[in-house]
Amino acid sequence: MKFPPLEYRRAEDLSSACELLAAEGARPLAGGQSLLPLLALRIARPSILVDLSRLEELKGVVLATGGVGGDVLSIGAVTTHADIEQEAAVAGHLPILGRVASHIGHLSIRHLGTIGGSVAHADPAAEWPATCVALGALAEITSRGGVRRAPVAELLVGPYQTSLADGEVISRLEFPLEPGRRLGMAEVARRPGDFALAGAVCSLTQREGATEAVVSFFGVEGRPRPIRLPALSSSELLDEAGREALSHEVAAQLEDVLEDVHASGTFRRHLARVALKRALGEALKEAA
Amino acid sequence: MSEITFELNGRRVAMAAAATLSLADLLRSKLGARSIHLGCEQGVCGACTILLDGRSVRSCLMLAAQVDGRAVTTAEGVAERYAELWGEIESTFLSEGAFQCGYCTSGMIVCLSELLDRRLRLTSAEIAERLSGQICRCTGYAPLRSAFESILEKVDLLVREGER
Repeated sequence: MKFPPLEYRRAEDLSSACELLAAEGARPLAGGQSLLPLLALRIARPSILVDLSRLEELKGVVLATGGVGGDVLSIGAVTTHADIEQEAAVAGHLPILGRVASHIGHLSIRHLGTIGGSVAHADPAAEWPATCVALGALAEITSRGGVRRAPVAELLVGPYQTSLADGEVISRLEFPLEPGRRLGMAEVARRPGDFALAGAVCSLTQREGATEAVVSFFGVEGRPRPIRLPALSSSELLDEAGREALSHEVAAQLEDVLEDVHASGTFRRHLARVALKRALGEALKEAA
Repeated sequence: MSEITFELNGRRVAMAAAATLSLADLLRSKLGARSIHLGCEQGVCGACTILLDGRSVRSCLMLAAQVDGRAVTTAEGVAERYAELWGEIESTFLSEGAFQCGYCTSGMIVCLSELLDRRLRLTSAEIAERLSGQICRCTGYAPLRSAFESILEKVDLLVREGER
């Protein structure tokens, strides 16, 4: 389990990182907690690793108000999971992100692993991609050619696959802050720190007397996608039988459910329902 | 090759490191830190855990080149830092049966050190969760939890049932 031949370059700032990433075979290295095992296993073979993990400009959480898309919580791509757990701006504006972070791996993984790295890696079982999808987060993407923004849901095209072009790097993730929105997440894993067998993130918004929900799953399909439930009545949400029926309805929409040695497709579909009911329960506990 | 300068257990190290070298291999093979044990080399087992600027990380999941400018503590450094408590830590691991083949032990010691360094007050359940990041195939974990509890209790960092 040794790393294949490669060149290591530490970027001094984001613009020099983009220059380095323009070279053929260059790939960004963020926390390395997924990429380095892939290198050791010879699954990934980049020729140059451009280390972004020291870029202070890509670290930390800021509240950006007054933008066209409304207020957002903007998280630098190389902010570690452990830092997101501890971040006061997260606790104050989107505490769910701290809870999501706390579910990722073990503490010593969270000390190095980053949110941007997790989204770019697009592991179908990872927490951040699904969370970004359910919350409608945008990715700020930087390359030598400039900066663009795209919904994370559009970036994720398949298991471990994104629509990022060569030379592009996720520089920030922007989570919209919508007053009155209620959020929940839950996952089922055999032990704390393991990859979830199934997890769900949900977002509930009141619209004209009904509730609009956006749900996304991780560890269930090949990629997290937004499942929209446009107008839920209070009985569908508030009583247990209603949530049970709703969970069956959503589970019936799941396609190509993952199957491996850890869980069969049937079991995962069941666990997706369990996670969804728990996530909804958590969201409903929040004040509207 | 990258020129790197970093602190290993309080001592300055300056050397050249190949880009393909992991931090774990640098510490164990090049610098003689024999407490670094390589189990899975993919971040799962925790036997190569070190403190990087005081925070626990897997040394197999870092490139040696990335350690430039940072401070690393291995179990050897923990033994120096807690010289007064060290006899107690060793005898507790032995008396509780938290030590058998020894492969996971240095990772466990670094994990314990992170709790001691930060003076974290933990419950038994929280200790168990911390230990879940360190694989031991001998003890069955209960003796490790008892050893952690016993050591943390001695330094007043154990939260007893009902206290929280």
